[in-house]
Amino acid sequence: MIRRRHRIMLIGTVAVALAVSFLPRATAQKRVFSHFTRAHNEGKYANCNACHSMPTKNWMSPRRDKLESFPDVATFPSHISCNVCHSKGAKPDMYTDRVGFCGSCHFGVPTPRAPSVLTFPIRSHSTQFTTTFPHDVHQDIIASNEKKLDVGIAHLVFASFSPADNKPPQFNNCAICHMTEATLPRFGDRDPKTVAKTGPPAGPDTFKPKVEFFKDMPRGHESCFTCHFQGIKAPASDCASCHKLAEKPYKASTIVERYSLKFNHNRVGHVEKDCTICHVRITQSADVRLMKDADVPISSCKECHAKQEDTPFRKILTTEIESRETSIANKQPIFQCIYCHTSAIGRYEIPVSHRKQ
Amino acid sequence: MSIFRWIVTFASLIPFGWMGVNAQTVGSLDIQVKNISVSRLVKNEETGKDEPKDIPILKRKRFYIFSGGLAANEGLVNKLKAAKVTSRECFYCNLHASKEYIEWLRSNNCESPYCRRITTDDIAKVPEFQAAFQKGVNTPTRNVKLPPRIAEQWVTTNLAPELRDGFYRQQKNLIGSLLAGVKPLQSTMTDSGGFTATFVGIPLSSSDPKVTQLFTISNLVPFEFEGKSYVWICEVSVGSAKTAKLPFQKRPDVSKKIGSCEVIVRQLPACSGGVCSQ
Repeated sequence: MIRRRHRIMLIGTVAVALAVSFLPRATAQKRVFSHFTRAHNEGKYANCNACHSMPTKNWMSPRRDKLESFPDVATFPSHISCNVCHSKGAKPDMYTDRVGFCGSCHFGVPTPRAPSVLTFPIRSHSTQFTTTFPHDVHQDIIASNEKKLDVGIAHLVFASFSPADNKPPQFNNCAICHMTEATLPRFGDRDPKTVAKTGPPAGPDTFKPKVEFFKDMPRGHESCFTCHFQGIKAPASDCASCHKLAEKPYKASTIVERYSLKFNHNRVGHVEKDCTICHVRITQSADVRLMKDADVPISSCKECHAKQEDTPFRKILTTEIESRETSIANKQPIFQCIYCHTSAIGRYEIPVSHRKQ
Repeated sequence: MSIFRWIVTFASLIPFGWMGVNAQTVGSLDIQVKNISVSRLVKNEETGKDEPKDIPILKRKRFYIFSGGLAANEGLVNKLKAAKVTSRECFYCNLHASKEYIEWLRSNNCESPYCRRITTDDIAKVPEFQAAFQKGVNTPTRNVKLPPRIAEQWVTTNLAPELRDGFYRQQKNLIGSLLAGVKPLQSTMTDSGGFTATFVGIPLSSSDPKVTQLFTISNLVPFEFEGKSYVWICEVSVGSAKTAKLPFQKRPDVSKKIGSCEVIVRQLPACSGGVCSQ
């Protein structure tokens, strides 16, 4: 009887807690500006430039990302963008909800002398736009990671210094946007959706990738504006060319997910190769988000690692497949393919693509 | 009753739908385009002697793959043969680009100013780069005069449009007119290291190892090398047990058929004194 009473009380407490969580928030709560409301994305406000300036007046101020300043959208739209609608009507929220309304862009109590503007963009907020980068178009435009392999090294006995002319040309390639990471990013295994999820439980795996296993990517406009500030399509003022309103706000994951976490970009045998030798699909992709399969197909790995040669790493793919099949045939604990994969992936059934000649 | 009939009809169609899909793709195959190379005498550092060395020259060129063989793509082949193509040199020559600009492009086989980094030295030497730099520094864009450091890095944003990406747009237009009504299965680029292009996961209609299927592979946009331009239109026959690699090692002097490839060779006009002539 007592136990039953306790159970009813517990259920009641949970129900009240849930109900409270759904109550409207206090009006003093800071608002998050939403681009999803019709008033903010239709009519003249369908054009981003109706509110946003490109560049903003403060573009020469020191940047949060420590990059050298460049003309950029570096702060929120000016007051006039808000005033048009929010200072009118029976209940102009610009005046009636100062904490909530002003808190979208300001912190503390803003005064004309100390506007206390939050750092733009506010990283703790969800992302409201997607960004598209057509790799295929850019691959057509940029050149190669040219190496003058056919030029011998000259041994100079006497020479004069001539700085500019003798520098080898710096060809634009993937490295203009993707360099080796400076710090180890958050990482994880990428779920192989097309692979049969049968196999033993993941074995113990203490593998930890190093920073040189990863390449970074632009986080702002710095790489884009080098060519797109004006003139060429899409110019910096045409935000909608690259940014589309998402279906709903989302938190972009900062975890770098890989099928083969153990791939080291900087290892001898990998580092001297052109990116597109392995990243075959990137030259075809207009939007990486639409890419169904791995950007690097297994056939790229096979070029070097499925050979009929004695060197272990030259035949490692074949060796791993044989080891797994032998373990199954001998009814031993199933071999997990952990030369390239972590055991979380290497435990799964071997995909057909890996066996195909 | 009518709903029941609709369900029965729909259910009876499902197997055909699956069969239809299966009939199109029962597997996939990768097809590789291998490089063209030219033999050059290169000094061997150890022996000090000049020795022949194969230098791949088909770097970062886009190739397209189409369903069916040459006969099935006869229309495309004819269009490629009849296409009026403006060479890189003529394009810039017709724009009256300075000889320094043309030389800057030619010296590293570049098609546009996006090919490589434009240095301070380049800006000083090439009039078009100098004008673009000055425009960046002196002419406000959206109320901004660029500081010299940025104007130098962003020099292409102030280049004349035709000099900047005109050649690229011309090539895009050429591809558009060649492909009118024809949709390639895929396109891919040759890399700059191994000089191979790979089409990944080309759909096959039969998994029977005896059955092969025809495809046509072409670069569409002529590849220019040493005074001539080349277009390859090659037929490959592949199946679930037959892979294909296309070695483009032979460069004919005139248009001709080599094996399963039609090779269209054109003599490139030269730019002399700001005039493009054959």
